[in-house]
Amino acid sequence: MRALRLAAGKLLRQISSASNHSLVWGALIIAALAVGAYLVPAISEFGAEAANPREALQPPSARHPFGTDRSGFDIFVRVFHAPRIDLSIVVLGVGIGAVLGSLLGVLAGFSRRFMGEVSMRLADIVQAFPLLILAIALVSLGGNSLTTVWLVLAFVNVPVFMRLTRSRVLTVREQRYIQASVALGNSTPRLVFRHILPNSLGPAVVQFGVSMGYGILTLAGLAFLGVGVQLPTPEWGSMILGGSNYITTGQWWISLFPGVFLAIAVFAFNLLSEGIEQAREVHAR
Amino acid sequence: MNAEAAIMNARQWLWLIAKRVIFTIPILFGVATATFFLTRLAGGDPAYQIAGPFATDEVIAAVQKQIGTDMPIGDQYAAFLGDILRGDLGTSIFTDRPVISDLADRLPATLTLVILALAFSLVFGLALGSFAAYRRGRAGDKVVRVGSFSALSVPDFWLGLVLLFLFFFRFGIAPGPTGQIALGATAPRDITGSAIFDAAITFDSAAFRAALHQLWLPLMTMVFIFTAPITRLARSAVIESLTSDSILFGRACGLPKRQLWAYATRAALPPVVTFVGILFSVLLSSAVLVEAVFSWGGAAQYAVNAIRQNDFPAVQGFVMAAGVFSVAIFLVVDILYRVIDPRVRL
Amino acid sequence: MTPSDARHPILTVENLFVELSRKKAVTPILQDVSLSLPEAGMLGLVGETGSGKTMTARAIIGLLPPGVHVKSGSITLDGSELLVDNSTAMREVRGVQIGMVFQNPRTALYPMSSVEAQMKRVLRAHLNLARPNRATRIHEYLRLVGIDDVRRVARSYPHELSGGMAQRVVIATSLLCEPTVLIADEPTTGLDATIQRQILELIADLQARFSLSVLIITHDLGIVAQYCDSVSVMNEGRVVEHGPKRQVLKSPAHEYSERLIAASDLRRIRRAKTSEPQ
Repeated sequence: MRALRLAAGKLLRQISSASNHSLVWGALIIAALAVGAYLVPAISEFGAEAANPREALQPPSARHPFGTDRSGFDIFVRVFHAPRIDLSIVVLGVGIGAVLGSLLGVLAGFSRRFMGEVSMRLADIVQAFPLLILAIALVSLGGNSLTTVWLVLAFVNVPVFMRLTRSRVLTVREQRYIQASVALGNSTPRLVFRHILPNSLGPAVVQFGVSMGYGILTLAGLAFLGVGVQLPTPEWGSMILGGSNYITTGQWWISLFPGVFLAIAVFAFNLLSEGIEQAREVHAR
Repeated sequence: MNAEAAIMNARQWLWLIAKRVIFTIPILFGVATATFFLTRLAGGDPAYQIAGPFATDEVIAAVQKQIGTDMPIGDQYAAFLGDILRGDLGTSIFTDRPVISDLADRLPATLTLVILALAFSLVFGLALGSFAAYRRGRAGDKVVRVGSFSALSVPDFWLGLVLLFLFFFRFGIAPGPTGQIALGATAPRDITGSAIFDAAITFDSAAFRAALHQLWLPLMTMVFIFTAPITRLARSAVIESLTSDSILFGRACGLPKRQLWAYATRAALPPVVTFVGILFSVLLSSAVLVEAVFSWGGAAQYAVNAIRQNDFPAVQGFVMAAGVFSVAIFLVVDILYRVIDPRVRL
Repeated sequence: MTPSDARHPILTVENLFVELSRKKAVTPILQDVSLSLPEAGMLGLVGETGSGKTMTARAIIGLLPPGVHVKSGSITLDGSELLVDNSTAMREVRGVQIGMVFQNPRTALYPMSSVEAQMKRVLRAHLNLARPNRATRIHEYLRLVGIDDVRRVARSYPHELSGGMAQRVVIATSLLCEPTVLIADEPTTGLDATIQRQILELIADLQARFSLSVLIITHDLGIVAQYCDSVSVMNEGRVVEHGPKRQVLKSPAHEYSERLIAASDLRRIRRAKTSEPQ
């Protein structure tokens, strides 16, 4: 925990020392999506899962700003409601993957020999699979539930973070101050947690934003294929799937708005990631 | 170069390729093992699904015997590996055909999409990236940077739907999501399974036009998505090479702008080529979704259906094929890298 | 050649001001720099790192880094002004009238092409030669810079060459289109001590053979003492002293030059030489 606090402190200092538009905007958009997910359904007169067949397939209007789908769901409220599922599952999945992967990466970087090699070859194998096929296979085989989805997101992200942290650890451990610390007789655990871990997590934090964006796309992509989240649960990917049959007959709004929000969410996480990277660069100078 | 040196060179290349191929064997073995256990252990026994919900125990047992799931898992694994070594990926439970021929029919369609998308994205990405690098800090650069950064966030399957709406429904200049060959259109003689390729090699211009008409929208979807990351990488690589000493010396020697351009772009190629290797498996993932949107009927769509139906030989077959292609692409990238960059030669 | 001819300046820099502008902040880089390179002479430009030597050289060939620009002043080559805003004209000056040699020869050469290929491109940019003549000329120039195994070196890629060999190739490339002026920016800094001497001897030899006018940038006063006719001393973006080599080295007028000389081994070397037993 101390190591995490040190890492967080370092990062915060890096961020606050730079005026950073990407970071601010990324964070603001994510916060807005999170707040909107509770605020909009609370004040809307329509429920997120309230079907109304008499108002099915209506184009956008004052009553339904984003129109309705074939069951008469109000797309506006559902699009805002969606982050409850999209963001929480992805944060959980990628978060667990990132933590596990980074820890394994530190271990792999530190026990350079056998363990390091074996774990890296395992990571190679996981990464050789086309990610989405792997995810579909895992989700559909492991039971089509939300739990499986976040487990899969965690699983596919472990090798990503492991690789990243390992290579960073290999660089950090060769640096002078670490060697000086060894020469001074510091114990290995102290070395790892006090010095190496806090200085090795930077790239992982940057990657976290990218992985979050990609995780949201994966979750939505799975849902679009009918795997994982399914209608009527309000989720962007499954909503796009719900409208896909109507696109060729001109009912564009059913798929369009969820996709726009999906893109905005991914964009926000990419911004966040870029902002963190910029902050680190400014600080490194 | 004299003959002796040429032979030496060829020998070194062969040795390099041989080394890479040997190196990929354990990876493929790992892929096969992981696929097997994932599909068997997590998926349960497909015999129940094949036999149907009302089947008696005897029927289920018969099905198990037929597809081999009555054996202990170790024996199944050994049989599976043995089959793979013989090039046998099993028989699809649902199409009742050898998986390898199912895949052979459908992979060309997927590869057409993936390889063409890769090629176009590479050309556009390099062009846009080096353009932005030359205009660094100016308006053109900003447009490219903002554009490529935003494009990274666009979901491919959604973009496919939006393009369908615009170009099919609204403007009527693209076909609907009807796969490689539209109903009633002139189809080329089926040789490989890739309509556009078959039309090209049989010089069937009518079929070629028809196939192209079907292809351009899904291709555009993927090219739009994958041009973005290549552009970003190319931009930073070209900027790096533009600020290098060798470009400065080239300028000091009075080389024309065009030449310096070529220098900087060529020096930026190695990282871009490496990235393409990584991008390939992402492209396969994207093909899954794009095929679904356009009913493309390729191997990726086949795999998705197979997964839904618990058709594990088909799933294993696809994943193995994807693994083989990823490894092959890595090999090609490795060789290309060495052709481009003399510093890492052999 | 009469002594008065030798003093006729071929390249002059007069009252050159160069500054770096970044986000409204303007930092002066060169202030009132004046130089004069005599025809067929060798001028040493000395000063410590960051004194503006390299910036002066890059201003002369019009290749200042982004954000850095000339504010005022004049640079003339053989009587014609170089500081006109015309990039095509400047391209005809670079390589054709002024050749330039850089500090690190191994990164200066283009890593992806063979020596011959990149020299051909320079040749093609300026001279209209038939194909076989190009190869002949390249081989001739490689021989000129003291390369014996011309065929092998021409086929080599830069990373296959040693530092000294690479610097010879750089020199051959920059002289390929017969410029009258050669600017050598710390040409020996990245090289081994034994190679340094060979390269300097080569430059001096070429200078004498082709009546080249050489501006050599260095922080090594030993080089100045041995090879140059005159010297300019730079400090913090200004030329603090200028004059014939002997005069500046023996009795520096400026306090900074004095310190620079005191810091170098020059006096010790000279003292050791003069006190040598006969």
